Order: sequence, then C-alpha cells, then structure tokens
Amino acid sequence: MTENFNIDYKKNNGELAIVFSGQLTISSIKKMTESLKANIDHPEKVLISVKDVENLDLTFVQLIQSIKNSGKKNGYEVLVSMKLPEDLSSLLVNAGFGNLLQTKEAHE
Amino acid sequence: MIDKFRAKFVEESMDNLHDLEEALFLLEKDMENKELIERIFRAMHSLKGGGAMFGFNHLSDFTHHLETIFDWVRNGKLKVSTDLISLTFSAIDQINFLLKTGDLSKEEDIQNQKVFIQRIQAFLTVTNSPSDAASVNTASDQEAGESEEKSYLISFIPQKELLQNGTNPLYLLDDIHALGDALSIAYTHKVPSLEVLDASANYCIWQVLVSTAESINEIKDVFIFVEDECELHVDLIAETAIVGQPEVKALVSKALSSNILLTPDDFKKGQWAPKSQQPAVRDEKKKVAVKEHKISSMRVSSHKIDELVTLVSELVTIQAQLSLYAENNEDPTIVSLTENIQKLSRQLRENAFDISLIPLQSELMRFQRLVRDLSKDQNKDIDFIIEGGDLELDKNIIENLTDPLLHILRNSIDHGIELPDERIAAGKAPKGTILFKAFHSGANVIIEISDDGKGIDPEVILQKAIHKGLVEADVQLDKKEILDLLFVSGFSTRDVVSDVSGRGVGMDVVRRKIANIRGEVTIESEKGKGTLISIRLPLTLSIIDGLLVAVGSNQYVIPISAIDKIYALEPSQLKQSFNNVVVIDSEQYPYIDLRKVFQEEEKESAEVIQMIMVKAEDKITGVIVDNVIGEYQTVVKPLGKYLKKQEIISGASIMGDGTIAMVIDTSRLLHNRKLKK
Repeated sequence: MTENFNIDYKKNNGELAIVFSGQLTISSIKKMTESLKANIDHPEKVLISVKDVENLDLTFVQLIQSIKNSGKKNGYEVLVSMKLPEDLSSLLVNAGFGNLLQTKEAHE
Repeated sequence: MIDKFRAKFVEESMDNLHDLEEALFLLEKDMENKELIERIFRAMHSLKGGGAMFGFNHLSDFTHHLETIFDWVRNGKLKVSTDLISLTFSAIDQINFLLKTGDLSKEEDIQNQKVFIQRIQAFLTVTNSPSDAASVNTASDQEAGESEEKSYLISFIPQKELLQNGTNPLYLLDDIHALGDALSIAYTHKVPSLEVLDASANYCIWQVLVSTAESINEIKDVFIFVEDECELHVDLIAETAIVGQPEVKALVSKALSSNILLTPDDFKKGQWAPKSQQPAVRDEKKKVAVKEHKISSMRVSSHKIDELVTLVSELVTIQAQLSLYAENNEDPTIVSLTENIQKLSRQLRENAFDISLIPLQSELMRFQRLVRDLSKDQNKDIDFIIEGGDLELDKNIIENLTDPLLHILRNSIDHGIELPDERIAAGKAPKGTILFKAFHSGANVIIEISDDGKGIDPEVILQKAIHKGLVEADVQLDKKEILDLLFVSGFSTRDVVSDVSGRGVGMDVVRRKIANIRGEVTIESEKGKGTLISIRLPLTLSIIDGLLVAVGSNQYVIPISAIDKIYALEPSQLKQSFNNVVVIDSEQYPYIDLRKVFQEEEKESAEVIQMIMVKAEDKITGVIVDNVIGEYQTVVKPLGKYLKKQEIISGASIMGDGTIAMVIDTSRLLHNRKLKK
C-alpha cells in the first residue's frame, strides 16, 4: 500500500536533513515516528524541512516538538523550516504554534 | 493504527447519524424547536470535523454544506420546512454511504455527490429571501445591547486520548479566533522526547485570550464535542477588549517562558475591569458535571461483551459440575461453598446478560424511515406510533429481528393501509395508523405491530389455500387456523398479493426467522378494520432456565418459560384417553409422548406418569416424560451443521457430569404435532 506521506533523509558530515511532505496527520503518525526513531542516530544537527503539505494536525506538531526536545536532551541542534499553504499556516498561528513557522530556514 | 481510528470514527459517526435521524423526526413534528436544530447542527459539525481528521474528505466536504444550511437555520436565516427535512433525510443516506465506502473513487458516485451538493446549494439560494434576511437583522438589533466586547481567558486542558477520539484541537482553536480578536498560548513542555513519544497522544495545553462580543456560552459551544475529554475553564477577565495590549503580551511571554498557566487574577492588576465571579462558578459546576458524566457510561466493543457472555456461560457449566460433585461427596463445607458459588454465578450471569442487552430503540429509526419514505412514495398518510421503544433485548435477538420486522412493516404500508380516498370512502380517518408496541410478558418480550388498514379476508385465504392444494376442499378450519395458513411455505406467492391485500408475502420466511431466535409469531385480522401481528421473544438466547427431564436413557431440557404446570397422572387416566387427548380437572388436553417422538422403546407400566403442560401459540399441550429431574440453568450451545435441519431440538447443553442434554424447542414440537395431525 502506498503511503500518503513522505520522509526523505540526507546525511552530510553529521548533519541530518529531514524533509516531510504529504498528509502529516494522525493516520500516519505512528509510521512517521518509527521512521524517525530508526533514522535519527546521534546527529550533530538536524535540519527539518516541511513542504508540499496536503494536511497536518496536532500529532505532527507534537512530533516536531518532540524532535526538538530530543535534540535538547541529546545535545544536538534542531532547526525547522515550514512552507505551508496559507490555510494551514493560519491554523498553526491560531493554535499558538506560530513560533514553528518563524524558526530559522533549514537546509534542504 | 489508521484502520483502528477510522473504524472508531465510523462507529461513532453511525451513532451520530442515529441521533441525527431521531432529531429530524422530532423536528418534523416541531419545526421551531431550537434545541433540535442545535442538535442537528452539532451532529453535522462533528461529522465534518471527524471526516477531515480521518481522511473522509468527501464526507467532510458534503457535511460542510449541510452544516451551512443548519447554521442558517439556527441563525434565523432559514426556516425549517418539510422539503428541508426530506433533503436532510436523503443526505443522511449519502453520509451513511460515504462512511461505509470512504472517499469516492467511482466517477458515477462523484458525479452523484456533486449533483447532491448542487441541490443543497440551490436550496440555500432559493430560500434566502429578503424577508428572511430582515428577520436576522431584527434579531441582531435585539442583541445589540449585549454586543460590547469583553475579554475572556480560556484554559483548555485536553486529556491524553483526545486525538484518538477524532478531534483535531487545531480546528477548535481556529474556531475561537472566528469569534473575535484572540491570542493562543500553546504549552508544549509536556511533549516528551522522541524516544518515549506516544505519537497519537495529546500532550499540549492551551490558553486563549479572546476579546469578543459573543456570550460565554458561544465560547463554550466551540468545545461542546470535547467537553467530556477535557478540562475547560472560561473566565471573564475584562469588561473591555484587551487582546493586543502591551501588558497582555508581556503576561503571555512570561507564561510561555515559565510554562505556568495564566490565572484570571493575573489580569486583575491591569487597568481593565476585574473578573466577574459568576462565570467561574458556572465553570466549576460544569467540571463536576463532566466528571460525573465520565463515569456514567463507557463504550465497549460488542466482541468483548460476547466474550464475557461466553465466559459466564462456561462458568455456569463448571458450576453445575461442582454442584454435582458436592452432592455426590456430601461434604458440608463443599456443599456450602458450592451454594455460594451458585448464587454468585447466577448474579454474574444476570449482570453479564444485562450488559449485553440493547434498547430496541437502536433499530426503530430504520423503521421510522421506512414508514416515512414508503408512505410518501405511495401518497399514503401514515402515523407511525412507537410504544416501549426503550425496552431492551439481547443484541443477537435484535440483529436477527430487524429483517422480519422490516418485512412486516413493509407489508403493512404496501398492502394494509389504504390510500386516503379509500379510507374516507370506508368511513375511516384519511390518516392511517401503524402502532409498534413492545412490552414484557413474564420471561418474554412481546412485540405487536398493528394497523388500521384493510385487514385480511379469511375466505379469500382459505380459497387460495384450497386452490394451491395446501388444504382439502372440505376442510373445517376456524378463523385463526385459516390465518395461520399465511405462514405455510408455498402459500405466499406474488399472485396472492393483490387478492389478499398483500398479506402473506414471505410470512413463512418471517416465521422461520423469528423461530430461529426461539420466538413465535401469530396473526389476527379483522376484514376492513386492520391486522395485528404479535411476536413473542425470549429475553436472551444463550442461557435459559430449564427443566431437566429424562426420556429413555437420555436427558432433555424444556425451557421453563414454556411450562404451565406439571401433573403426575395415574396410568389409568391415559388408558381412558382417546386420540391422544387426556382429561385433567375436567379440561381436555392434547398430549405428546416424548418416547414416541424420540423413538424410544415403549415403557413398561409406570406407577406415575409425568406430564408437563407446555404453552405455545396460546394453547396448552401435555408432554409425557419418564422422569422430571429438576430445575437446571442451561447454557444453550448451537447444534452442529449435521443436526441443523432437525426441527424439535434448538440446541444442546453440557451437563455437570459431562453428558449432553438436548434442549427441546417446544414451539416446534407442538407445531409439528399439529401438522402431522
């Protein structure tokens, strides 16, 4: 069965670039989490990029926050860049997650 | 994981649809009822939100349009009409379809949905008349005195499971922003690191400051679907709009950096008005109500209940074995313990079966729809009255009962109730009535479906039966026996329909299906006045209170609910009997000797003959057994496929000593005897 989300990983000199796209919702969140657990292996820096998003919900926002918390705990930096359609951006801002949209641009 | 969530959403949405249908029926009778309108709007809103959440995009889109209609209605822009109700009923069918199929893939289905949405949109355009708009303005004017903006602090603390129940809190917070100027504070400090994250759990808490002219109830309404799954406080913090003021921004920054939630007191220091006490009191009351509600009911899968009932059934069997062991060993301690276990297992059995009962009401909505839709199609005016809809039955019985009941109702509408003109000509009110009545009768439940339609002409039935060779031409039958012919296989054919008002269409199938759940069905009818169909059902299927009897070397169980009396007869009484009819207390009773039925050898002369008087179809018949052993709680196990076709045994029960006792279906036993006669 084809997944309705996509996660790309690129490793480069201790930097791990993660690109999320598609349906980033509760229906796929468990698979996304498992994938991340398997791929985030003691990086020096994690650059998260979120683009071509069809939909997202709180579970994905929490997932991003969780990666950030892992970074704090394990001593690596996490930078997030989100390019979202206007309606989703507005949804995040109205829910108090505007800070996620304002973080530094991550490499792709 | 996704399947689990989607399945749960579908299950809950089906409940929602049920609620929606019920509200629509009530609204049709009381078109101004604001509570019902609000209930329908909420159901639509919930379906829309959940649909989007779980990938039912077509469902979400579809219900969005319907939600708009009912938003207009609740805001006074649109009036409820019969057309609107009919449109919504059709929409429920479409929602049902979308829930079962998920997003549409067939071009035909997509086009049908588009056409349907156009119907809804056209409805909005046509009905949005200037006079309606004027009434809205008037309403707004009336509320103008209350339109000054106030500021509230909303504290929204959801439970961890919130997301699993199909809620996307982002939309709730977005809805708050639609009420006025708002500022959300998301506290994410409880989100754990990736290694221990439960990805589908909620870890966030929100506080929202909102300055709005809407009432506190409007704010709370946003959270109405999650009120059982969160702690919610809405506090008035200022009598004026304060969102966006520098002092507020500073408070928000401080809260975010410290992860300490703001309190209404934090805003007292400002220059705005202090917090009003009344809303806070109401919040406390609401919190208590929420907590009470949380423990009052819970959703359990029917699969788990089936498992519980099976386990209790097994316990009852083991308990019977223990009782037997205690009897044989005569140890007073074991006997005493066994008696206690017997009491407990009986209580447990009653509780377990009580849990597996569901109200008949759960199926009645389908019947109401059938009556409504079919009567409109046929230009008939029918009042469908339900009595006893809250009565509860074993879910397995209800599942098997639905088709026969639909069949009976369909016949009643199709062929029982006349057209209004015909009714007037017959001296009746133009509006026909179908009464659905359910009530307890001893250990049984009786369901009666009666109508005041054409009724059945017994002479026509008899002639048809003779014509079909089902009875001899010179047969002498009373009216009840003639109507009983309707249940005989081979009588109910399509050509009979027009001649006998359609009664009899598939009634043999109805009787068979009812018999499969150990029920009985009877019919009474008065030509020109109407028909009454009665169904007698057991309360539960898997455990019965039975009377254990012996016939030859085998043991059998007769359901106690079917037993009227037990007589010990002198052998001479039977010797004087003629044509298997015995006289007891000056009354004549037909009787059946189970030795003959089960082809056992003739018994040598006995001192006493045990005759069990069994009731079926309003008649009492004697059943002769060798010995009455005693009362026995029987766990009825279904027969295997090899024995399924035999007609007298309805199941088997494992006895305490491991032997098997067959459970006798008294209704069929007596019915077979009558046929043979």
